[in-house]
Amino acid sequence: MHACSYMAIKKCKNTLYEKVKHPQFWLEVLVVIAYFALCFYQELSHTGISGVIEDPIPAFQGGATFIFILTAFIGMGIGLSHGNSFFKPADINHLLVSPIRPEKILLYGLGRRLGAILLATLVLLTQLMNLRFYFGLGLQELLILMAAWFMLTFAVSFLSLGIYSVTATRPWIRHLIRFFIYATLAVVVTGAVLALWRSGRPVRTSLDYLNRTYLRMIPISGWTSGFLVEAMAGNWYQAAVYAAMLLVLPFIGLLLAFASRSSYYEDVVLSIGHTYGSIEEERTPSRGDVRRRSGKRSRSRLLGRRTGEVVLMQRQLTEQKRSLMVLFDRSSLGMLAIAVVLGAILRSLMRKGMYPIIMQIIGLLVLCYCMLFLIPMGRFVEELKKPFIFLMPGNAFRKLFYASFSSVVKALVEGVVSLAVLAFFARLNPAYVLCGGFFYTSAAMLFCAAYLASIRVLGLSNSKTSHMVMAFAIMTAVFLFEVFIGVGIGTQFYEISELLFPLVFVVTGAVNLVVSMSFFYSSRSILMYRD
Amino acid sequence: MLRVTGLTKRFGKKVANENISLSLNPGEIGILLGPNGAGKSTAIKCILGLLRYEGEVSIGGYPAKSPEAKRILGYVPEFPCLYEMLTVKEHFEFIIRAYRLDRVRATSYAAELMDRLRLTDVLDTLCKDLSKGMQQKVSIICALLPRPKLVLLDEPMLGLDPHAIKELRSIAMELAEEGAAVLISTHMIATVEGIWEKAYIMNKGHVISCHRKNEMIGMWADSLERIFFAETESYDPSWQMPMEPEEFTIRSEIAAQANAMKKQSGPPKKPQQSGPPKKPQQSGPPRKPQQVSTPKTASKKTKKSKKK
Repeated sequence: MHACSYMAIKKCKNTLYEKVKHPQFWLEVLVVIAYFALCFYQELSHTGISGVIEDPIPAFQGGATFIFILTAFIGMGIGLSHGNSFFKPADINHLLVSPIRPEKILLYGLGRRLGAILLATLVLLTQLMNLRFYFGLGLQELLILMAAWFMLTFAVSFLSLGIYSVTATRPWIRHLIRFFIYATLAVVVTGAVLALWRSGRPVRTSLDYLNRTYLRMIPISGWTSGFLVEAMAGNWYQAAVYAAMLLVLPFIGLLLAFASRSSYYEDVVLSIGHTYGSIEEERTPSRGDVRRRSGKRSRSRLLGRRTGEVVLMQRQLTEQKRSLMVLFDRSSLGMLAIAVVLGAILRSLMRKGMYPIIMQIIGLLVLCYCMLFLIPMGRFVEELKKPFIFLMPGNAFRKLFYASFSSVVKALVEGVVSLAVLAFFARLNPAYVLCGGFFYTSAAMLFCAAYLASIRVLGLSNSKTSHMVMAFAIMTAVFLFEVFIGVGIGTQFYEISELLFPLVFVVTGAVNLVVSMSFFYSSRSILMYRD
Repeated sequence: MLRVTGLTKRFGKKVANENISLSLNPGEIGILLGPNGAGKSTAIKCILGLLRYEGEVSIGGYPAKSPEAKRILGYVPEFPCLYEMLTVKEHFEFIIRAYRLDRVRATSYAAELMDRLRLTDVLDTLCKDLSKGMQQKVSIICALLPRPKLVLLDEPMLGLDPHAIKELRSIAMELAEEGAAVLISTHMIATVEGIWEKAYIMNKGHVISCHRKNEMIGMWADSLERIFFAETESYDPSWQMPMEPEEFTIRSEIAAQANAMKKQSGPPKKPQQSGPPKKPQQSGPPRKPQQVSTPKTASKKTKKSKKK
């Protein structure tokens, strides 16, 4: 057996042995078994071809195109990552210095990142009978779908390999490909939003939009959907052309990867960071880079004004300022994109006669739950991994509060901007922006506090996913409680005037703050020791 | 065994190594000395083929990036990063497979090295459960398992216990006796005192001098530390030695000659002062005249050198 395969298998085996010792693993296994059991039950309960959905084939093709676009861009995104997402520090010391050929090492590195595609294939396999039932697909259509999926994953894997090997040595190409991805996504999303704007059926309109012929010009994902559509229509010649295009690109990717030889090693070494240079200095020099090279940084203007626990917040804001903008980052842009799409959907629902009050609640809850996935990637959770918060003298409650405060301030700006966009699209009450913004901010604080509570219960050494799941559960429980309060108070406000309804968000937001404070207070003990 | 000629490594506009030349013959133990940020680790990573560089590096006659060169190369990294979810035994097995070694011989050699480094009863332990020192020992054994002809050790003594340091020193000497070339990069001079044969002193990305132990004379022969401080604490980057390894002149000899000339034709001496003997600076390697400078004057000096 090859050394890389031996290592990969042994690592999987040992990881499994270690996981078996933790009850969390068995919980995960139970969830997966329950999911598969549900899938099989559904499949067994369907008999014969039904085609529940009206006009199913275009809907199916639109949905497939959406999945293809997503998969292709995720795959290309993997290729754009730096060496630290393909390799670990141990790989430098053992793999890159060994006589194993660089191409084999690259394949091994890529293999580690393809787990998500494997998981998606498994999910697709469990859904085949459902597709047969809901879309009325025959055996031939299912086979075509599987063929398209395998061609896509194959193409994406080798393309990402090629992209990585090329961009590792020429970082400017990385910007070019990233621009292509963002531009294509912007075109697709803008088209979908415009289509939604004109129509009153959110899901169907989006699916029909994704069947537009010009979207088949998008490399990889467009070609795959072209293959699917043409093969299902029986146009085998056109389908073959799309398939050929799909297979040529990864071949080029593979050639590029083999031609690059060991040039990507430097990217791996620099991105893992155990050397003098940094990946930033290899990029096209921006104004910030030039300043960084000269060893100078602009004054923070935040640090040094006050002393005590507040420095935790000031330091986080300084880091945020130096990496991107102070209160708005890449994740905020993602929230903005979600707000735009949500606004278009709510607008179409309003046309169908949905109540604005329900729209307000739905919009706010969707944004809050989206934010939930961003907090664990934020600076608050990172702070808990560093020793400063544990070692610095001060009140534990204040330390935890200030450590979370930069995330909360960021959420305030993010919430107000996203809700303004949502209100503009869905034509909601302007007071909703301010009151909803307050609720969104308090939800950010609640999630930080819930995360702390989960750490208190599960311990710091547990995985981020477990903390997230528990925090999610706590937050949902609090929200459910607030729904009861909100219904009572909201009815009173609504009877006085519809314009007063947003005040419900202020009241529930205040509840969030009180609950958060109690969680912060009860979690003080986690700062007494560090696992 | 190792020949580096005109090695230059740039990170953007920053020059980490400039025009470095060094060589090691089979059976030689060389050391790469320098303060933090001198560029030692970067130079080693270039030799390993991990970084792109300008210049030439050959190992046993093969280009550094070729698999043939890597087959005869052993590397002990600065940070003992191991695969956390592999056991010690599985690490050895990985090396055996990657280098296609004879399993029986490699296993017995690993057992011998483990015994010497007092790394017992951990063969089936996951590396995440080992202490930092133990991880460093595993890292050393992994590097030596293929019986390399060139061993690069980047700060190998960090985290090791005194027994392991002693053993590692003797292992390095044995490897050299068996014909392997050993290059140790360190700034802990005491740990390599007594085993080195060739010392390259680096500062600010340059090799500022090369010394052979058997050519050292007088008081410089017994203390590498003295040479190191004399070289690095008065170093000016614009002042460089010739770069071909053969052309490296023994600085102490030049210094001795210069002092002799000064004595013959220099200004009249001041009457000798009673008290403790002066520090042996004047007869050492050549250096710029020392100036007592405040930070302001120092910054002026650097500005001037930049302008130049």
